[in-house]
Amino acid sequence: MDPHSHEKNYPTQAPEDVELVRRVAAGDRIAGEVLVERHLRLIVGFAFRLLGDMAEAEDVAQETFLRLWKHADRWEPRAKLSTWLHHVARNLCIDRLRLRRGREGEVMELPDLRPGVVTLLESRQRDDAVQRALLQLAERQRSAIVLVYYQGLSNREAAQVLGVEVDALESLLARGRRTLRKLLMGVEGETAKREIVS
Amino acid sequence: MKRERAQTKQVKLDRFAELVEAYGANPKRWPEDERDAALMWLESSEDARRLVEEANHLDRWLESAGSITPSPALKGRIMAQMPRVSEVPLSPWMRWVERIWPFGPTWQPVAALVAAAMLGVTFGVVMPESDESSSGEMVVAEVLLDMGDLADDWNEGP
Repeated sequence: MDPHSHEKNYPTQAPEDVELVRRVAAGDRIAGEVLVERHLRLIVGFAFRLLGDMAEAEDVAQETFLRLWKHADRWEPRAKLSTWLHHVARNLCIDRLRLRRGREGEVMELPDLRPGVVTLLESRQRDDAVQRALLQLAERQRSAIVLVYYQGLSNREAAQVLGVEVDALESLLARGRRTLRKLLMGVEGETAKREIVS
Repeated sequence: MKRERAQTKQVKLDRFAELVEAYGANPKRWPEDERDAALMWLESSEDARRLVEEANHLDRWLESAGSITPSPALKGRIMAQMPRVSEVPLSPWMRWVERIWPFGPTWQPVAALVAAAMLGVTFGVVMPESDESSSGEMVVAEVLLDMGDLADDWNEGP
């Protein structure tokens, strides 16, 4: 790579996002709408997978874009805009999880999943079962899994959002998958038992 | 030699196992710089295929989760928070302009300057080029002479 090819050696990214943020900084509302249209669904999805609550997820997404509006004039494309938005959204989610922990005790402690999940499976809501299982992971493992499996970020981008090296990201992913496998296989076992009994 | 090759294969297969354990069965999620080598393993190794098949079970669970759709009102709430043009922080250049013209919108003095400049250019193009004979003194003299002729005409009665 030619070291002179890019003045500040920023990573490649869609030029439209950089241009749109610049226009937002100048007060261009149409540019703002395009950015919202482009990234909102992804950020809401990310926050929902981390928090398990749609209203809170939307609040996080709203706050994330508010940060973008406020910082648009100083924002520099050191990372992709989507990476920056995920980073901000994750920090906001962590704040909310801490608040919950303060209110409810150890939020990450694993409750007994099975009765609820069996009910969910009876109503064929596999996605709810997955969401419940995700919520039982430690936050960093959950974030890693969601960023790579649902948000479509590359390993480097996901590591950047989490502020870790790629090796550490892989460790989080592997541990997260092992826990999910146990939880969801347990659900399958319970379902099979119930089918035999009935 | 045979032993060394077997060890190399084992190391690579270990890495393949790590990749599948972390990123799952779908090659599109594998790191780009290792994807081709990993795919070669998938083609050539029964062990690799078994690992992918095992990982695929969890992947199917994860992929069964539906997509998330935000409420229609959310976009409106976000756009309502976007600063209006008047609230947008000014660039250093605009701050300087504002300092020398603190009386209101800066388009007014800018428009006046542009209008003046355009008038100047227009007159410059439309007016004939000045030469010696059209200098101020000559014009005055010509006017006086013309007036003299008029006076003569006036004095001449019918």
